[in-house]
Amino acid sequence: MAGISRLIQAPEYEIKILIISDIFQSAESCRGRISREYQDLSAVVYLDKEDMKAWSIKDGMNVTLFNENGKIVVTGRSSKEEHRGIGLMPPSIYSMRLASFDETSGAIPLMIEARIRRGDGEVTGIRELCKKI
Amino acid sequence: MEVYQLLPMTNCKKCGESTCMAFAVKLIRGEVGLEACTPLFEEDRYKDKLSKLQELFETVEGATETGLVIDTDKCTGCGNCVVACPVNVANDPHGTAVGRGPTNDRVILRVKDGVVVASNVHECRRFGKNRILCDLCIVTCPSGAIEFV
Amino acid sequence: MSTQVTATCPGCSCLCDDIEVVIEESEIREVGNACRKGASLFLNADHPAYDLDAAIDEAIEILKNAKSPAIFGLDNTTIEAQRIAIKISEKLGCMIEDYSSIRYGDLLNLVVSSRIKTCTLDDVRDRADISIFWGSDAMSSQPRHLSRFSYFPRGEHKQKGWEFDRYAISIDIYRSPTAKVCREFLKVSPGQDPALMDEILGILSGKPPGSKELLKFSNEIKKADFGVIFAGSGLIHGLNRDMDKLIWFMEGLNEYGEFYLIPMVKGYNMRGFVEMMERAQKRIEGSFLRALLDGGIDAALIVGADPMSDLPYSLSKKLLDIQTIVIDPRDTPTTEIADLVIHTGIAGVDNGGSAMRMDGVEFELVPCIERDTPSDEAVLTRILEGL
Repeated sequence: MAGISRLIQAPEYEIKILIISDIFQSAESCRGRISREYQDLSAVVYLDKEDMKAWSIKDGMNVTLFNENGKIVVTGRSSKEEHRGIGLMPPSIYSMRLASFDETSGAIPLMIEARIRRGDGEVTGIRELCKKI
Repeated sequence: MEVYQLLPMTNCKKCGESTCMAFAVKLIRGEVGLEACTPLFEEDRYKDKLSKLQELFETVEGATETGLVIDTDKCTGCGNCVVACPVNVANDPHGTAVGRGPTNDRVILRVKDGVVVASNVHECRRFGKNRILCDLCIVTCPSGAIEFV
Repeated sequence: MSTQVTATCPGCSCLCDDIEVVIEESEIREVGNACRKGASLFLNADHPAYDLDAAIDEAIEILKNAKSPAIFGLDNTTIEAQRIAIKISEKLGCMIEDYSSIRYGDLLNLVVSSRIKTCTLDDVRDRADISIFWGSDAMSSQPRHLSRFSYFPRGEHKQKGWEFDRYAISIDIYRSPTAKVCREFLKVSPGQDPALMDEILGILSGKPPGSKELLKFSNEIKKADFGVIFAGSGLIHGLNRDMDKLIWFMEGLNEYGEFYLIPMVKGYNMRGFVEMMERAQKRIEGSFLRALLDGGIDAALIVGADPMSDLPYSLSKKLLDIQTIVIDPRDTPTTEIADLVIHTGIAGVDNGGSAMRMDGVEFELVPCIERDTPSDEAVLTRILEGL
């Protein structure tokens, strides 16, 4: 039975998350980083249009991003640029949930390996990400 | 053609034109407003047509007389257009020309409350007797916030 | 009755000093010339009241009782506040760090010590023939950079402006907003930046170019008398933090003209902190994150930063286990989890101080409006006095 329920779940695909600056999110962050408006600009991944077709993801659909570091539900939006296999996210508690710390270099990554699939309910709230797992 | 088909197509002449086609042409040119066609607003059967027409001409409502439209949702206030505009450069050599805020009121573009606003648009080189197809404010914009309709 | 003042904006490391602020009845009504981010800062300065004395006492208690405290953040506060923070770290014998090493490796130290040639943004506006944005999306992080200095304005020796007198190129992993407005965009694959540097210097010394774009770029380099690389964190990542490669490349370019580098730092006063530490003869070791991860810190004084949003969760979750004091104007995920929050004002808006632009030029930030909210400097001074 467990095997069948795995099949019913939406298909997963590999994706590289690239962390990019976003002036609109930055401007909103001046008003605080807990608000709904800030969440709407941060809990988002901009996807290549061809990738969205191949992955059956529509603009504005919730998507789950996950890897060994964590899992987040954000809004998938179509990007104006072409970058197959890459999703763009602004720097925030959301993108950082998926990031690993490179102990050798002491750096925060700009490119993160993850997997993406449709759905999994509501967008993860910011306060939820502040709690200890 | 698209605009004509969204009008009542009755040639009732209430707008002052002899045919709906004539009205459509003037509407597109911006020479007449949609509200001149009173049946569109008064009769229920034209409700869908009216909302489609209003959608079509939505951006034009925000345009200045000369057709400059700024989408403030897209504007980042970067000032590229302010500094690149040749009229700004000519009229404000010690301000916008050298990348600073305007030092006088004769500029066409300036940034206010984080987004660009237009003034003195009649001075823009796209208009008037010796007009040219200047597009410097459009090509220097990183987010496509300026348009000429 | 409204008054107008000229202000300096602490939105980013451009520190634009031509902001026209209209004030009516002690409120900011209108902001002229500031970009979307700067305008947002000036128009949203508002803070709730709280018991400052009690908060300061609690901060002193936490720091006195801590066995291994640390001070972190500091890139978004004034030079005066940074100085006091350094004094607190000396008093407590504890670690003090900002994000400069985390985001840029050794780059800031190399620039500040002149190991890598640098210049001012005014030099760029007045003389730069070629602006190279490498791993930096200025249009999204420092929006007025290109219109005030690096591409679009006329300058003393650049009277014909960007159309005829300047060349700008963006070298990046994807076609960013900066790439869209530059004359050229060169797409580089992740980690291929060293190879690209080899190729560019190779073409300059006579090797056949691999592409039309690279030939064009090399010709522009040859033509240029004065060129600048604006280095973002994308470049540091692309080089895998190998600064020797960057030094070698800069030296190579300098055989064809005067080539400088300006670090496009995140944080309006990161340059100030690095210079303050240099003057205090302290090195930024880059050890705060490792210490946090290893459980070697039991209390953190976080000034003007939001590590819960900036750091990978494996690190930020450690903040939940330790005592945290956050001194910041905003509500952030870090203030959410903090044991103690002290809301301070914003320099240039409702309090003052000095700061260093990304190119090292110092600016004075003067308050536009009066508020009861204390400055970071005032709060840190009281904490220092109590220790």
